[in-house]
Amino acid sequence: MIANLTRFIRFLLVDNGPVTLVAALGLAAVYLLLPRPRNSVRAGAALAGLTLLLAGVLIVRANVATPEVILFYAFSGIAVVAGGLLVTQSNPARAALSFALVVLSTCGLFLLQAAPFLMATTIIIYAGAIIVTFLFVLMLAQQSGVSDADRRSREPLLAAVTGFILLGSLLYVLNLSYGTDDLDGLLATTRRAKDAASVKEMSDVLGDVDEGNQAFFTGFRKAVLKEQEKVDVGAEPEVRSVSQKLADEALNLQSVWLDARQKDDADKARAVFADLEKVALRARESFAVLQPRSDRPMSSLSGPPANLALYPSLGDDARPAAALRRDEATGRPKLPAENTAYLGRALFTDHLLAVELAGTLLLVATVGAIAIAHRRGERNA
Amino acid sequence: MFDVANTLWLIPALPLAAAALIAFLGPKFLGAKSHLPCVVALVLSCLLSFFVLFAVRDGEGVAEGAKYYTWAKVGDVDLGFTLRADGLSAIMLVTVTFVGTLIAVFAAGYMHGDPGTPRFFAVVSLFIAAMTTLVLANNFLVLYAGWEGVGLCSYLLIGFWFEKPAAAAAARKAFLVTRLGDMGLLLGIILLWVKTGRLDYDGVFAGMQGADPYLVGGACLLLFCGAVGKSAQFPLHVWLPDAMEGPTPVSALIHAATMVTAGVYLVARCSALFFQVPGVQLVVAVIGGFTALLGALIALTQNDLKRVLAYSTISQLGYMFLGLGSGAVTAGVFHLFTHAFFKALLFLAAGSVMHAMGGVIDMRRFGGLKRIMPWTRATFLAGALALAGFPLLSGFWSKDDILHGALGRALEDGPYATWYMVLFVGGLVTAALTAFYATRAYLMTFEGEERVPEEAGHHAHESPRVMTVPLAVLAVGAVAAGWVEPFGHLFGSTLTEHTRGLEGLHEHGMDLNLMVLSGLVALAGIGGAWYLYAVRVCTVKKIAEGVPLLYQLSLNKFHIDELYSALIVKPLQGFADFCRIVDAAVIDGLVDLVGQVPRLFGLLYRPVQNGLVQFYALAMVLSLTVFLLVLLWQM
Amino acid sequence: MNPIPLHHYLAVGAVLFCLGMIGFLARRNLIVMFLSAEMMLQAVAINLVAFARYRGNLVGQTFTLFIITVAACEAAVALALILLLYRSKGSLDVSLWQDLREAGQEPTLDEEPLPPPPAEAPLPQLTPSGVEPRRREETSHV
Repeated sequence: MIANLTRFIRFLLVDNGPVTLVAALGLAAVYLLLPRPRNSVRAGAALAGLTLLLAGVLIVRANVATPEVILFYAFSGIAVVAGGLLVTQSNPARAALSFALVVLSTCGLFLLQAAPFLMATTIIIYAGAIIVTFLFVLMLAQQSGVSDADRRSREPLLAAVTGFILLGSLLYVLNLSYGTDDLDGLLATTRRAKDAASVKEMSDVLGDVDEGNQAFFTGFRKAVLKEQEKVDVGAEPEVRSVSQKLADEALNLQSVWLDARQKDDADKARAVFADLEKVALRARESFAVLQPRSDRPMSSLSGPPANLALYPSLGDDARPAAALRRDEATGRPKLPAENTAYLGRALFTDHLLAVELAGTLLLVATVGAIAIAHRRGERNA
Repeated sequence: MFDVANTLWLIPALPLAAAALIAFLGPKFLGAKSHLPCVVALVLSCLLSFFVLFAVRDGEGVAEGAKYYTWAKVGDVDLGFTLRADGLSAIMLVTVTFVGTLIAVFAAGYMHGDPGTPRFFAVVSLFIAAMTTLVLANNFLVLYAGWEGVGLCSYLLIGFWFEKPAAAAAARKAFLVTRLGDMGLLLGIILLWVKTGRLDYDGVFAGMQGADPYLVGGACLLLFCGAVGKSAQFPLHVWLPDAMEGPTPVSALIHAATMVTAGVYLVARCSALFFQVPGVQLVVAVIGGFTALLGALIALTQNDLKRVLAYSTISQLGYMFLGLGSGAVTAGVFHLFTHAFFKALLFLAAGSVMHAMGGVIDMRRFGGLKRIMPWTRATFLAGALALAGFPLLSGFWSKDDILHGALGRALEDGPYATWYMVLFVGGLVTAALTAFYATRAYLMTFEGEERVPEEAGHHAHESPRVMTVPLAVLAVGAVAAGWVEPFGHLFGSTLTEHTRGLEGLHEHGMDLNLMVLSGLVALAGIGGAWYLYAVRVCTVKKIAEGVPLLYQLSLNKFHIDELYSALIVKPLQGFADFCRIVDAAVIDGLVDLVGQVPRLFGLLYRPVQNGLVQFYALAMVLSLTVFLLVLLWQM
Repeated sequence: MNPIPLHHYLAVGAVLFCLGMIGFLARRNLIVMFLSAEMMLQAVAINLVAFARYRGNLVGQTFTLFIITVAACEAAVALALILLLYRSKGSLDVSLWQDLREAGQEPTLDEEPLPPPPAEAPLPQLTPSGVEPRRREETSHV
């Protein structure tokens, strides 16, 4: 029992310290900020700021400041801050405006992920329709501003604890699945080995000397293949190939290193570690990357695969019209218009039944909303 | 010309079909004509029974085990619906169906206008089906089924007017008291089955041949226990007088002629067992003789005509057991045969009187009915004389046979000769008493000054033809049924020659001296009653006042009911009350305690149900989070 | 090349989702609760779009479209229901609806008093100078 407890505390504080810290700080901040008869907004705001800062320090690791990176952090920062405001703001009208901000920054994130049609749709439907309707209802219902109920919360502590435990768990799982800590550690070891003076020292750095440094290389290949394990579910051989190629390369380098160690050739060994460093960097770069590969096909019904030279046997004349509207260099559809075209194609081929159902749902909801909100007494009067 | 084995099943099946027909169609379609299917089925069954009897008598029709259906076959035990036609079955069959048919015809008139007519005839048909099944059975299981079937029908018919509390109580009493005996029968059957591994008669009797006498004796006593209950013998006789609450044809059919003789039939059927243990035979004879005397003594003073007949039935059944216990199986069954005629006749005649008197049955309230009901009077007289053992009438022959058997056993150099001598003397006394009360009942009802109770109103007239004709037929039977035996040994030969287990039966010859003696005894009884009730009426009271103790004892049926009530019913009631208190205080308390535990838990958790939707959502998400944490921890 | 990996988008989605959940659980205004629920949907949409990009197909985006459709339906029906609730109680406070509680259970009431609302700043007033002119008695012409 006590052993378990200490294990748990170790797990929280030592193994996953950053996640725990951010979650705990956020919890305190949100708890302080939630509307209550006696809440301390200033302390809460300070804590929230601290949390954001800390999270930024812990998360932002990109070493290049491209426009995309800056935009991502800006949009997500605005979204998180506005989300916090929405939750803690006691005035519902302001909460609705915060929500508009959340929606707008989310749309920015959509745009960053090459989904312009969704961005437009979300702005039109959420910001344009839903929020406005909400504000109308608020105007109808609550003309005197902040009501008593808005200045109180239901079980603020429990709600905040629940939410942040959930958040901590989610972040932990994300870290477990997509964290590059192991690759970073291997990279550091590789660099230290590269800087070592003699072959013997290199071997000592790698550890597991008697077994021919087997543990290091096994761990290396495993870390490189981590991406493959996840994507393997989709059974896409093209994805497999990249990490597989890197792993094969690592295996090659291992035999070269064993050879060099036997011959006590320090220069050759150093070259091996330089190559290994490159492999590790490439693995880290290609890890969980969002850019689609050019040879990855779309669904069988929603258009031709992303690579252009699709129907070489049919000749140029037989190319479908869709295939022509492509970037000659990359073979991918041109954004943004092509996203809409392909989304439409996917909707009306792969998901036709779902579209029909959604339409029906909208109709039913319209009828239902009218039927519910209708005042029965008035017609008779 | 006619295959017994293949047609035997029709005899119970026809009344059963009639019962089903009346039960399902009667209330809606048949209505007042409900008696038709019953009578038709009974007439057909009766004809078939006569065919069976003639075929058996010729020796060709004996069927020992016509199997129609197998209920279950477990190992060696073959539980089948197996019927048997031999001398005993055939005689019983004819008695049951013939008397049953006449009674059904009579009932058609008697029950006229009663709203429950379809129910009545449905149950009567069912009864005949069960009774014939009982008689025809070839194994103890089918016998037991028929046995319980007639018990059920008896219960239903005694409580026919169930809205009358007395009838409902009588039905319950009959059912419970006979149940006591049935338990013994069931245990006996189980004992036999455990011992021999068989249930069919031949197998059981063969298996018990030469077995430990105590075991055989125990089995016999258990079987006899069932017979005592069903045939209303001494310790368990109390239900039969109360059973007169049912309609009179029912009393005639079930509680005089047929069902109550099932016990006699059972003992006769198991003679092969009883003959092995003379001690048990003596028990049978003693109980029979004692019951005969007791019934006759009680019947002397009863004022209710039907009760006189009921106690007379108990007494006569005791007589039959006396015969069986004396080894005179033929005599016992012969008496059963004749008794069925004259007792059914007496009951029906009593019913006819009751019908005319508007339901009054107390003999003190009417009298001198011979002018009003000449047919009833004549037939009743025939029945009463037959019962009294008037020379040359049926009762005379059969009773004489039984006394002959007892005397024979007394004069033999057997182990219990003295006992049988006492029983013989008791039988003679009973015969005199029987003659006395039979004559008394006749005289009080039909002779003397004409008196009619007010309830009778304008109904005080002779019964319709449908009722008098069966009376006349039965009267002929009562007079002549006895002649089959003395003139040609028809009865005894049919019974002993064609029934397995009875072949070696010792045949008593005619004993002229005994016949004269019993005839004189009967005449003395008749004469005494005539003297007291017709010539010097006032002396009766003087005698009653002269021996008040005896008179009161007889009038109050020797207080047996009260004795049972004090010894058995009251203590049981006290025990039941005690159990009720224990149940209410202790067991219910415990159960309530168990019930309180969830309530307490509920009180503890009740505040959680505060109606706030957000709180519920929070609880859901919180538990989901805990679940997620456990899951992560397991990773 | 996009140097922001998949799990950063997922993390943003997770944060928004949990914030929305806290809002839904803690806030008592029906409208704010509803907004929080919509924010949770937005978080899910971010995740789906990120996965769509990661897998290189359009299933995630299509799914997001359906989510938006359902959200629109939900908004229509929910707003109608909110109006209905408002009509019968005259308030958007969700805690007024506790009729589902166990029979005989005391209703949950707010016990802690609210601080007094901040006093409104007084309107600026000119210092009166001289004698106040007499006002004419107002008369109704109706």
